[in-house]
Amino acid sequence: MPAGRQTGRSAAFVLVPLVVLMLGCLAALALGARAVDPATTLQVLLGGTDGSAAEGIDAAAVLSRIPRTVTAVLVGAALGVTGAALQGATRNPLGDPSLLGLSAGAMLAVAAGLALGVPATLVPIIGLAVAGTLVAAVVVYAVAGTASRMATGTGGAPGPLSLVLAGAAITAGCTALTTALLVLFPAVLDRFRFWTVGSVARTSLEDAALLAPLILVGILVVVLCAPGLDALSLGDELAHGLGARPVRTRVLLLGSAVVLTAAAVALAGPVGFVGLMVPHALRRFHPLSTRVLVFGCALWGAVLLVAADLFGRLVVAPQEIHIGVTTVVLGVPVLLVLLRRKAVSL
Amino acid sequence: MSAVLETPRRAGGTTALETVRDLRARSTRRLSFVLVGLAVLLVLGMGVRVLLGGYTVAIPDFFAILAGERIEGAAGARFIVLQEKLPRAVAAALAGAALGASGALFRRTLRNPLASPDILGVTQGAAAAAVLVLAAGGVRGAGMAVAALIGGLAVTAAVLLVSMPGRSSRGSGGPAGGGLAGALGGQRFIVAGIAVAALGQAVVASAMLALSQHDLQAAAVWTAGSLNAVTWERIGYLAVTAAVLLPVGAALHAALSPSDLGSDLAHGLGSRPGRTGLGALGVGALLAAAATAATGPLAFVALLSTPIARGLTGGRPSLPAAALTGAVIVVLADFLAAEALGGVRLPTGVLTGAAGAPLMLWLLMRTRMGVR
Repeated sequence: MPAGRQTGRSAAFVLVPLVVLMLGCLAALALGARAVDPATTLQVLLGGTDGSAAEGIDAAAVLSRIPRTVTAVLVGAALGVTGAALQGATRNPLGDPSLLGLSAGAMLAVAAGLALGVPATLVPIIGLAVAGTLVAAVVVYAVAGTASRMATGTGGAPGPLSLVLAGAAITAGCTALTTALLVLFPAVLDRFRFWTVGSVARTSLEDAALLAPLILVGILVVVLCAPGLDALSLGDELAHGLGARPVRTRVLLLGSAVVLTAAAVALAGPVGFVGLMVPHALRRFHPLSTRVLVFGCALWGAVLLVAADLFGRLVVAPQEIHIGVTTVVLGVPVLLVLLRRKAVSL
Repeated sequence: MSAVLETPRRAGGTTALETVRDLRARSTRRLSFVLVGLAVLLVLGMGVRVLLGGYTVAIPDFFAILAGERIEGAAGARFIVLQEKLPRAVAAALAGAALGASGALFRRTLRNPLASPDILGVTQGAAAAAVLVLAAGGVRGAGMAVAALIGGLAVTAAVLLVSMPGRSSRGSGGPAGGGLAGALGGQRFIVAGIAVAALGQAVVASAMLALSQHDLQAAAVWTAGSLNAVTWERIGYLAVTAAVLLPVGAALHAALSPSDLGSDLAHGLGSRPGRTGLGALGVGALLAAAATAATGPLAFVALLSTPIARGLTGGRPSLPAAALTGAVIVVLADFLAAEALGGVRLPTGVLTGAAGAPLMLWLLMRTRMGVR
């Protein structure tokens, strides 16, 4: 393939979702209980309203939708990239923070911290979330590694099935403990009843703004490690022979996956299957490099969650379907198709 | 099996046949000993649940209440025993037995210690179906129980269908080949089940958020599993289902014993592991769904009662032992959840979930099922 066409394809891989994302955000800001026409929406965003009463209501409607849309973009980007990083670093096609129990660990840590009296501001919450994700990741990886060693009699990376089973056990246990905390400390944790499903309904712009740099750094680290991901997919020995440093790459990737998961959970609770769906869907279009794939995961992940939020608000208005539910309903069939196509060898 | 290997060789004088006969008798003696022990434990546990705790009842008073007499100076005792403590104990025992039996059936059919109705999404599917008919049509009572049964069966069928190797991949797909046998022999159904379980949980959670602004108690029942909302009516449905299905399940469980040797050998011995296994999974799914309709999804009970029962019987699979183990687990868990924290009542499923997760991780680490 000529170099020019390669660049063109890679540019399309990033530009198409960028345009879709912008259109999606515009739609998400314009549509809802009070639909605002796109021109007015843009005017409100650019600060050019003329102050009439109807426009005031329109402006209020648009502005009220900004926090949840921004949060959906951030969480979607974080989770899409987390999926790509986890799948590459563990060489496990079922890499997804919720399937592997990481989101549930973060959720439990945050709930436990708040119940013990940690102030409910963002910095302690993100600290708790990182700690919970890290503990869950270590436990899942250690248990799955032991299970794989028992099965194969050799060392090596844990297989997908044992990782997912360990993740399921961690998820069930952490969810049970979180429910116990919700029952025991109803006053402190009442607002988390929504959050435990995975939702952007009650987010603030300040939280999103505070976490945005963290998420961007996490994504950047994964982007920088992307060439190492290609080498990792060949196995550690070959990767070493190619001049990559598999251990360092893996630590960096898993570290950013932990931080990105924790940030996503701190903002929106456990939103499942985004990290599974987006990278697998994009690989079908054969990205030319892993770096392009990671960019694509960030953008399409954001598109997915903005669309899920918009869909959830429109379909059952005035009620809403939380994004955590929509992504699971979308993601489970995708996982089942992956299993049938033997894209996942167990 | 392991008993044979561990028993030291006898001194001369006994023939091999006598040794085998002796070992079999010993294993049967151990099984009956375990069954009696578990039954005694269950009765004791139910006794503790009914008589002790936040409101203590004397044994003579309990029988007097059962006989319909009034207790002098304690007018509320009759209500507390008959409408609160006794139904919880009975429902816990029945649901635990149904879940334990269901776990034993799944375990034996799928020949995998991690294959159980709660891992495969059967209980979550039953709960989702029950919640959906409640939320969509306001259906309660018998209709809800029937919906749960249909939901449990549908999830089992869906997970098996998805796990059947496709025509293109036959031959390369696992040791057992294509079709149903392929689905039963492979491991894909576990991942498919975990995914379906997540789907069921999401459905329940969203329905609950929409429904339960004012009814957290009901939400706890369907999200975590709880005995707080148990009524004699629900117990009635569960008791009828269990009375019909437990004997059938026990018969199927026994008929599946050749399949412990692997499906090829079992076929050679003249059994039809495919058909019997399908029946066993159906009965197991119905038992788990019936329990879920009464108490909500009680995490890990079905998964853990079978390995615990096998540990007690010395490795011999037994459906009654698993059922009794499940019943003991749920009765004790319900007592602890209701009484351990003083004034606060935790949903019973929270306790089984929190205690069961480390046990499942341990099970996962020591299993030699070729889980890669």
